[in-house]
Amino acid sequence: MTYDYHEPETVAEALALLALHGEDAHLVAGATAFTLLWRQGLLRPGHVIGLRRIAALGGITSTEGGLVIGATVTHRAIERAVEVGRYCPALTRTFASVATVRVRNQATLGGNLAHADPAQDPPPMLIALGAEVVATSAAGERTIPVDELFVDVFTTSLRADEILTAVRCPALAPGTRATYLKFLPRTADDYATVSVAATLRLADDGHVADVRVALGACGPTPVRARSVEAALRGARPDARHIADAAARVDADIAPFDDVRGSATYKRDMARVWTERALTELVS
Amino acid sequence: MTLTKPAAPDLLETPEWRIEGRDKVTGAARYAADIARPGMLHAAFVGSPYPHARVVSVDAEAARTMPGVRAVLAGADVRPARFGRRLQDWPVLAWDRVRFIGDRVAVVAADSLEAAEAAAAAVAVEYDELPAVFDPEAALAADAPMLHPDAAEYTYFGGTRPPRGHPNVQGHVIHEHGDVAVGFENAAAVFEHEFSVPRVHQAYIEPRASLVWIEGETVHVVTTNKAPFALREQMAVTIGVPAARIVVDTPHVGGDFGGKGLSLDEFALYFLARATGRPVRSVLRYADELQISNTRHAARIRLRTGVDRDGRITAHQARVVFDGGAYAAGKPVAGLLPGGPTLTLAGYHVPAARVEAVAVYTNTLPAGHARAPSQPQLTFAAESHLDLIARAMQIDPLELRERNAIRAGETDVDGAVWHDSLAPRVLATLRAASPSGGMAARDNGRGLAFSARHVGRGKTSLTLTLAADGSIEVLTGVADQGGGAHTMIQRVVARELGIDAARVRVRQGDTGHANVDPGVGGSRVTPVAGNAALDGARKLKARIAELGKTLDQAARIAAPLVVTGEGEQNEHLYGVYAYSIEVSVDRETGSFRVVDAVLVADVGTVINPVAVRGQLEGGFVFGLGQAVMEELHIEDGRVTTTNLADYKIPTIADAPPLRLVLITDAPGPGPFGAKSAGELANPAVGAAIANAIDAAVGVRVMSLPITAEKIRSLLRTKELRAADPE
Amino acid sequence: MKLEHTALVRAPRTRVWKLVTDVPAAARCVPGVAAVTPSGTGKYKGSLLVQLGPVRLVLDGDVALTATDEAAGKASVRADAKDSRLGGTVRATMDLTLVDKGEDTELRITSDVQIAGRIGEFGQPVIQRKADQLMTQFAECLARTLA
Ligand SMILES: Cc1cc2nc3c(=O)[nH]c(=O)nc-3n(C[C@H](O)[C@H](O)[C@H](O)COP(=O)(O)OP(=O)(O)OC[C@H]3O[C@@H](n4cnc5c(N)ncnc54)[C@H](O)[C@@H]3O)c2cc1C
Repeated sequence: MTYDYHEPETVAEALALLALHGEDAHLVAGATAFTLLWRQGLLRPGHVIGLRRIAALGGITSTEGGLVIGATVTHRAIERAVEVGRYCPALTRTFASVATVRVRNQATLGGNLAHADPAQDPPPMLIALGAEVVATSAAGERTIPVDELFVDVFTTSLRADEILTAVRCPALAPGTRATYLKFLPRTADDYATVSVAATLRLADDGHVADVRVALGACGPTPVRARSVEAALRGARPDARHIADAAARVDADIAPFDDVRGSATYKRDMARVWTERALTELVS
Repeated sequence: MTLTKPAAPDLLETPEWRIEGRDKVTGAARYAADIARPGMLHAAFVGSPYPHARVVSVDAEAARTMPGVRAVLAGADVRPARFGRRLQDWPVLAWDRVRFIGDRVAVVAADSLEAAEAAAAAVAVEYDELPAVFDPEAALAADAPMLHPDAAEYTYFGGTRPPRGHPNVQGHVIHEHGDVAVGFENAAAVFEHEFSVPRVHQAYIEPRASLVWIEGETVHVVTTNKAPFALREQMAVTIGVPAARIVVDTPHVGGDFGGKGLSLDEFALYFLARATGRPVRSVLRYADELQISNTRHAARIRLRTGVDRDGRITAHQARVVFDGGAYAAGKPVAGLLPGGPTLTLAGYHVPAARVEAVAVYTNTLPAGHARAPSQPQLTFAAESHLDLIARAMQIDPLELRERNAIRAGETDVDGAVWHDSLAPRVLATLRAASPSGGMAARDNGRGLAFSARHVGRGKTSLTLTLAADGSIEVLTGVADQGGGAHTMIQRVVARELGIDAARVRVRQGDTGHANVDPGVGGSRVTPVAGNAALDGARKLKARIAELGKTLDQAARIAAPLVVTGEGEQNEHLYGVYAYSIEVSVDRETGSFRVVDAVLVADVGTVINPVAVRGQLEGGFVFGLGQAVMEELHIEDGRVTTTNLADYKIPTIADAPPLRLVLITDAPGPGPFGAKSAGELANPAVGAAIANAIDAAVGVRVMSLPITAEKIRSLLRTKELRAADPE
Repeated sequence: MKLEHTALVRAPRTRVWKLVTDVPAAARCVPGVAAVTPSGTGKYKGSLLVQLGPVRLVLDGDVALTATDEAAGKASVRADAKDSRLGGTVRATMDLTLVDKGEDTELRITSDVQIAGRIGEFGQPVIQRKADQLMTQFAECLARTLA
């Protein structure tokens, strides 16, 4: 079983190919997720459109305290980029925690987000940073907060005629701290049993000025822990307070059983790791 | 004559160069799936979606007319062909009944794999579902669905099949010695515990692959099967072709861990090759490896042991129920049980014992052999049980083991008298190697486990040819599945002849060229094939001595000089070993880390120093995987862990440090006093970790794998109980 | 995999009974169902399109009412379907129970869904979720249709 492989050099050409072949076309970037499904026979497109020759989709740019990362930048490149480390060391660590070097050398940021496996690492961190994606179609560009990108398991709000072209990470207010914790009770290269990303900024008087918490592997999509955030915002957090806030994560998540843990265990671990993440950020 | 004087330094002390190493690291090594023939077709199978059903009809019309399709065969086309290593109970293609999800009912040969798979998907099979049974205990009920009503027709190699009490029994054994009733009466305390161990896969990297073609009268088979001669014999019966007209060739094998003694596809490929006149190849998808190949047996193990006031065993009773899955075909042992099924307290003096083991048919994927069959299950149970006894009796766990470790002249759990025993020495060595004193951190704990594994037995022969240039070629039928067998043979011959190892070439012959060999397995290769190599070298030496020449002179005047080396090892002996493992537990999550591990192992004389370390370190990590993470999840007969992202095995990043202490000065029956090393390291890891967890945080995991979730859940129950004693 | 669903239908039991035992009409409540055509007494052929992220399954198969007991308010439905492109099968048995709740009727559906072949390799948690979603939508749609 074969397909025609196209390698457009511009976004416009790629969009034209998408329009031409419609449902029979499939985009690939690093092809790490695509190849698994294809080899299992679960995907059988007649046309595959490779994005990695499109120069406009590559590169990492610093912008007034923020960052723009092209869709085809690999996990490894992000992990090693000085700009990313300078912007937010936790973001570097997030990408470094994905699978193995071999996968990271191949897998791309855009592919990661479009694949939408709820146990992936970058999405919760990008949500906690308040990042957004740029989606481009023949009609033009629109931005989608990463928070609103995920609809269901393997399903995003990208339309079939859109290409994810970049991710924008906003400037972080001075003093913002960030962390990403991935719970791996089995092997070092596994998907998370649960993962927690958080950003937090304390005002000068020690009150929580900003906080964002997001979890992976705790439901059909990565989730924002709004109840936890609400419990912390404006508070002067001590250990008791953090434990109480972390306990509220239960209301934000909807985990299901998988080989990495039962739903009950994931609920318990979501609380433990949320508490650990917040404790790290206020200490 | 200077031949007998070993070169200095002793070859055995120099790290070996693997014969196949260069080919493997440069990618030149060829595996079964790399081999193609002109005009070769590809096969794809149709598997049952039901765990138990009658096959009503198979409609292959649509599939037959699809592009590229050369043949479609169903059960009716191969009936009554069944395969298996000891009992041939597995139909090549089911004609009347399927017994597990994935059981094959039809096969397609086509020009490409894609065409074959598309055609396989188009075969329409009508089934009539039958009640299925998944639990081995339930399968033993009087009114349980019967899986094999035609058992009387099955070929059983080596006499008549032992009688069975229930039609769903594959194999059953009761061992009894001493007066068990009196032993329990005399006990100061009696303990009873039940443990369980799930299905796990051998998880080699290379999936099964095979290629079959017919040339004139001869059937050629290229296979990943590690026992080519045994496959030839099984195949002869299955396909009705004399063994002399079947040639089996096993190239490099990409890992085996006990699983590759059973072939699945070769038989159907033969029928396709016959139908099409073309070579036919198949490579199992890994998803199928995990769903239809022969896994380790799941087991439920109930142990009952009486001890005197000092913790000395007075009597022991055990019942072991193995889930054998839909077919017994994967088991090579006469009793149709995994090997050593009654060793429920291996390595201890047991004055009286009654141990019952049974393997049962269920509508799940078949179970077969896996590295040290039955030992990981039984050692997990035995060593957890003894630790619980030590705890209850307030005896130091090492002390309890020292009191019970078998000594020369004593009887083991199987009723065998040990004429010699290294058990006390292994435990004394472990005591010396384990750090004494307190733990580094509050939630750290140390656990130990001790056991014994037989030194391999069997018989083989190989030929040595001295060439005119003074080099020696050894022709063997032993396949090297990664353990280093060929390098071992090379070094034994070189050392005995006092020559450079590079002068000895080892060539593996197919079944048409090499002498018969029983195949790799049962820790057999070094003691058996090693002895054959030694015998061959000695015979060559004798011939040279008769000529009154040096080896080089003899080579020039008498080459080719050919001798046959024969090796046999029938002694019933054990290698003993013990672990001490320290873990650090995270109470809030239940996850833990191994922070220190020591393995003391009695391996006899070391022939391949790097390979022995490799076997022990690799065995430790292999055992660790099955101890803490591996489990084939099976729901209503369906395997749900169908890839290696869900079925995780440890990576190198997960391998904790291991300190090895080898006992090498107690000679064994192999060449120069060698014993076996391949199955010493994996069985005891689970128990050592369960014991360490208990020592660290006071909870006891009674089933493998020992997951963070299980520990967390036990800790939670304990906390709740402490908070509210009601 | 076993699933349980309950929906409160704002209609009397007899009306609900009529709808759930009218297979083609009830099938319209399953999102993704294409044509359902009779193929013998109590038997139907139909096809169902299921989208799992980028993966699209087309399940063709048979649906049959295997048991009905109007007095007890119990009906059983069995569906056997196959994706012939992927070579996977889905088999589902559904036991429906109708319980009077005053003017309304409670609809309880207990289903047992078995998925085999390549489709089953997609990841059981995902499939389980999808099956659960379909059944939830089915129950909700029945309730809506009669309200
Ligand atoms: C062995 C293994 C282990 C893994 N472990 C982890 C892990 O621990 N943590 C983790 O986070 N992830 C993990 N992953 C998932 C990995 O992150 C994804 O496979 C990867 O990010 C996908 O990127 P890709 O470029 O290869 O995507 P591709 O496979 O090329 O594409 C994936 C999907 O995204 C679509 N797509 C790709 N690019 C675009 C675009 N620019 N616009 C719109 N759609 C697009 C494609 O059409 C396709 O459907 C693992 C993957 C593997 C294979």
